[in-house]
Amino acid sequence: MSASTAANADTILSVRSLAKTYGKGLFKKSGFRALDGVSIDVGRGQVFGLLGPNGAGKTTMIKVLLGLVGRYEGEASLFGRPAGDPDSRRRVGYLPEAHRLPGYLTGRQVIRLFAMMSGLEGAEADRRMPRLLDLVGMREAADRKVREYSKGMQQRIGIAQALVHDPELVFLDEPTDGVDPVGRASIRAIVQELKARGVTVFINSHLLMEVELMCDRVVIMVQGKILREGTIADLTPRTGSVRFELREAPADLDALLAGLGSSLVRNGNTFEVKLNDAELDQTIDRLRARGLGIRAIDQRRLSLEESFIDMVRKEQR
Amino acid sequence: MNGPTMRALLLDAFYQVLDNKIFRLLLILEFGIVAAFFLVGFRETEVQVLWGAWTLPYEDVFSFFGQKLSPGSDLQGMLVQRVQSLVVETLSGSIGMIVCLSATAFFLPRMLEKGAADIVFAKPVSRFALMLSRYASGLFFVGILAVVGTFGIWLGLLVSSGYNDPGVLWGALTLVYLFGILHAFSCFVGVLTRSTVAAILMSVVFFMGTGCIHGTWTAVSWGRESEAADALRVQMEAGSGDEAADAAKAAKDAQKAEDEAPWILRALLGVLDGLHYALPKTSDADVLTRKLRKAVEGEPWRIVDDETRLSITELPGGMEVVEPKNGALHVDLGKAALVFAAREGETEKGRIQLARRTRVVERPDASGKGTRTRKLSTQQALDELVERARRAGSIVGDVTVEKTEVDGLYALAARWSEAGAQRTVHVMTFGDWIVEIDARYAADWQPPESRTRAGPPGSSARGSIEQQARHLRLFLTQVHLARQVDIPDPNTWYEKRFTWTAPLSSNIGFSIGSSLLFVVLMLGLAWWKLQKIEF
Repeated sequence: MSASTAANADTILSVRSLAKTYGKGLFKKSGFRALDGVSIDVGRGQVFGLLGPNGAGKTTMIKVLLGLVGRYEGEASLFGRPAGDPDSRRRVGYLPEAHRLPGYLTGRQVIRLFAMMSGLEGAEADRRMPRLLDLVGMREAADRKVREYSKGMQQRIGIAQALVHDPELVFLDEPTDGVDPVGRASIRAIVQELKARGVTVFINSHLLMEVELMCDRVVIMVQGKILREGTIADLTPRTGSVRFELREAPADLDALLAGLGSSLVRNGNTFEVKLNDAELDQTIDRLRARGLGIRAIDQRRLSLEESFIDMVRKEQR
Repeated sequence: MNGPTMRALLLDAFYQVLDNKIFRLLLILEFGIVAAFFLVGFRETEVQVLWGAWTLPYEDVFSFFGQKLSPGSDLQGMLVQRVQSLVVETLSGSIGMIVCLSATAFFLPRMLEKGAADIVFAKPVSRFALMLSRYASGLFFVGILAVVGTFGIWLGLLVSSGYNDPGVLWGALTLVYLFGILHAFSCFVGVLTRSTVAAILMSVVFFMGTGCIHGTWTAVSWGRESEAADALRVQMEAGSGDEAADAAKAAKDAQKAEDEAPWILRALLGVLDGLHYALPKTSDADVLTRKLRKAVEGEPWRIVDDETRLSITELPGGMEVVEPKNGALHVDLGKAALVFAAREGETEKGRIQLARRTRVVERPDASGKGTRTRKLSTQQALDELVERARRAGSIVGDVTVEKTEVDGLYALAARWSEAGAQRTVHVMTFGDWIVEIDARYAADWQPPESRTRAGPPGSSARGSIEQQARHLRLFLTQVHLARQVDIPDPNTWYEKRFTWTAPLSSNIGFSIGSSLLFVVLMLGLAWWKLQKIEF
């Protein structure tokens, strides 16, 4: 199965019927099919999320686009150029999953050298350095060797090296992996800043909460195929349950709401009940008629995680 | 690839080397060795430790190693060159090379490990450039060590020993050259297997393997030529008198003997020959170093007869060149004799004269009507010479003749007395030539090196004759002949053969060219494999 997100007029990443099989060779006739006819378009300025369980083919797709993996079927292009083209790679920042930066370099040297490898002059890299180090919160530790860094610190320097040359497209493969909650919040802030600057961000992750918080559009992949795609709202449908928070819940709540909705669950001053739209209006009317104060009403939706697990299980059945 | 990218790759290579613990350790060791060259001085007659706090005469050093010394030897030069050779060629060129190979073998495999590779290879840099940067890291590694070591040794010798030998600096270049060959192989194995252990093991085995193959080839080839030379020597002693013809026959005999060897032996020799041509010439690095050093030092003083390549490498003690008068180092002994003489005031006390004439003569044939061409033997040449002296009336008393050798070549020596003088003439035949070394010593002349030694009472005349004989013998050791029977030990033999104009098997250009081609091939194969790797 393949699907395509709605193509933006300014598409910078395009994949058409992309398929990749690993380990197919002279002596290995049946290889592992990591991608199986995937089609995606990503427009400029989007924060795009690629979700999927381990082995879904997310990382393989990025590697195809960056030229790290070859011998694929279908089409893959960045900025209108074939995948792996050095000119398009110059406009891309990449933070790989479980990356290993050269341990013999300091954080500052890593950023400087990777900037130069992307075509930036060393002096220009030095000029951008303070702002970048502040952005990832590594100013203090910038002159320590990478091998002395914690995993989270390496992740931050990894992000800095991906951003130093002001790329138009940033691939972040599991960016919050190994990062503490404060660090995750700063990474989310960085992504929001990039989005505000019009940078396209392509996030690969299986940490669904992060994706839910950061991404505009999401594609869910399973076993090399696209399962669903859409906005966060598209992928997190309402459950039909409505949660009420009252100033003081009456003892006879069940009697008060008799005949309205189903599956009433009470918990202190809050309760949750399945209602349609007409029943919701009637419920509010009855509560107000009794003179009960309503603090909050919340239409319950499936979380991305619940939705994702639901979809993957259905697919794997 | 643009400028910043290239600079980034080189900087990265440099940082990687500087951070390497083995590199730092080797650098400290090297500083220790260099410091030794500052603390130990090789002076003219002795070794001085800590600027004279402790001294050791050279005679003691050489006799400790059981070496006999010839008078007038440059002991300082000999010892310094041996120590340099020990440090630069043996220590750095073999043990050091293996350590460096082991220390740098991980550079490429580590870059190709998961996690490290994708972050680097996603950059807009070609895989070939990235691979070359790791190759350059290895060259930096050895280059820095080699330059620091050789420069330090040169400076230490200059400061502490007053011995200026810039030739030692060439050692740095040949060490990098040798490492460049081995490191290319290591890079290829590193890309192929992506394993540091495999890269270390295979490159060390390769280094030792090529050394063994070239060593065996040299020994076998030397053996072949030695056999031919022995056969030639036997034939010459049998007296045909024509070295060229004898050499051709000896070579033919040797080829015949080889053709008759068992097929398995011939096949093995063929494989050995093939490997010698195909493999990079790692063993030639040492020879190149010595050749480069000689090139820097310049050719030692010697007078050469251009026609026969006969050379004199040292002046006879107490004598000077009187002919040719212009002091030319290239002479034609067939046209004018080379004359050395010792003078006291206006009186000539000693003279050694070298001359060459043809041994091809026309003689009446058996019928007595015509002539035939023939070559004079050594004996005939000597007889002619003595007869001339008799006719001139210069011979007093008997003439004694004895068989002898000059630089290993059969010769006849005739001795007789003249008025107030002793005369000794050595005659040898050499190709189409007769070479005469005619020595005349005044009876009362004592060669300079023996003047300080007073003999017992009444022994001065006899003593003078013995000293003059020793003087002549010493001079004759400085006469060298370029002949096909000159086969020294395998390494010296190979070094002598190893020239720009030699056949391919020992040609400098081919050695360097084929080795560099091997480097290109290894890096090309590594690149080809790298292109196919999916990270």
